[in-house]
Amino acid sequence: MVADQTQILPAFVIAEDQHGDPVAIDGIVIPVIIDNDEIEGLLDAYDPAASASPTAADSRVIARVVMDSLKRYIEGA
Amino acid sequence: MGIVPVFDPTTGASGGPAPAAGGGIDPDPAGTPINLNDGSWTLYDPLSMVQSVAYDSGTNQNLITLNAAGPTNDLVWTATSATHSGARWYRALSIDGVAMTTDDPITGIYTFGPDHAVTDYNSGGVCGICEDPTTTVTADIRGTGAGFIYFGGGNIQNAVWTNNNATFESSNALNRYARLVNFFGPSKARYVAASTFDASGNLRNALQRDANLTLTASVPVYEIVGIGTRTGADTITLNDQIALFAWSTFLRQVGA
Repeated sequence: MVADQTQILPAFVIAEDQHGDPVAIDGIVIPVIIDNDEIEGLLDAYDPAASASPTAADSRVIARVVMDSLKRYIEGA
Repeated sequence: MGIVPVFDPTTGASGGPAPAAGGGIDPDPAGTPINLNDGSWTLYDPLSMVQSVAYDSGTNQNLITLNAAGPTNDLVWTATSATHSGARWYRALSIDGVAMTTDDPITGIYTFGPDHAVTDYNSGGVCGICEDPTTTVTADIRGTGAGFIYFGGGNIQNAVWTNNNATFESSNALNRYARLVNFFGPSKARYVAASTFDASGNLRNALQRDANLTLTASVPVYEIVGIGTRTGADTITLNDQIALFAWSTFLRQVGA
């Protein structure tokens, strides 16, 4: 899983969120690319009804992709 | 050899004449200027918003005088709303005399923006192509193209419009207008991409969005120009005006 650092876009976006709810957010769009080989494993380990899911290990991987990308963009690296 | 102005005749500054104030639209865009008064457009105005339209053939400005309307989210063309009831002008799209349908691979090219000098209310608008301009049901309009919102007297935000969603450039005092391209058909409306510009024609931002709209098979395609408000909280009062500049051209790109 990686972020496409070359395609980050500051924008005001009117769209639907991951639950299908309408959103209007002024922020930064970061495209995240999930390798096809990762998808099955991630979804098998994820239970949306369990508050402790995804695992801490998976959460950290996902969060660090977003945080590293956001930090690099904001700092202009 | 052509004569090139070296100094601004008003200020004496080097670099030639300063750009015209007000609209800030590049004077040499691609396509044909849209004149909503040329007889080719039909107005569909479910809320009776429109009093009159004046077209200036010198500046290509469409100046529209309005009746009171709003506030309602239904007047925000770029909002996620089940109903879009803003006034819109439409005409059937034809290329080289051939009527286009949703079975054709259409590429639309636009230059679009509001006149920054007309500040009566917090406005919004769209310019693009769609499947059904004569309905207020957003899901049936299936329109994509250019959009904007304008805090009257303040900042313009240009957008790529994808029926009930949109992506806007960040708010900035320099924003004026956008050049866009969109892909419409066959069977789906897909990407809309834009570059945005300041009043002097300097590039500012890039925008893109996949409309991902499934189109009805074999139905006519229409050009559409819609007007409304910036947000669902904004109101149009009697005799408020909105001014638009728009150019468009269309290609039918046939595959091998």
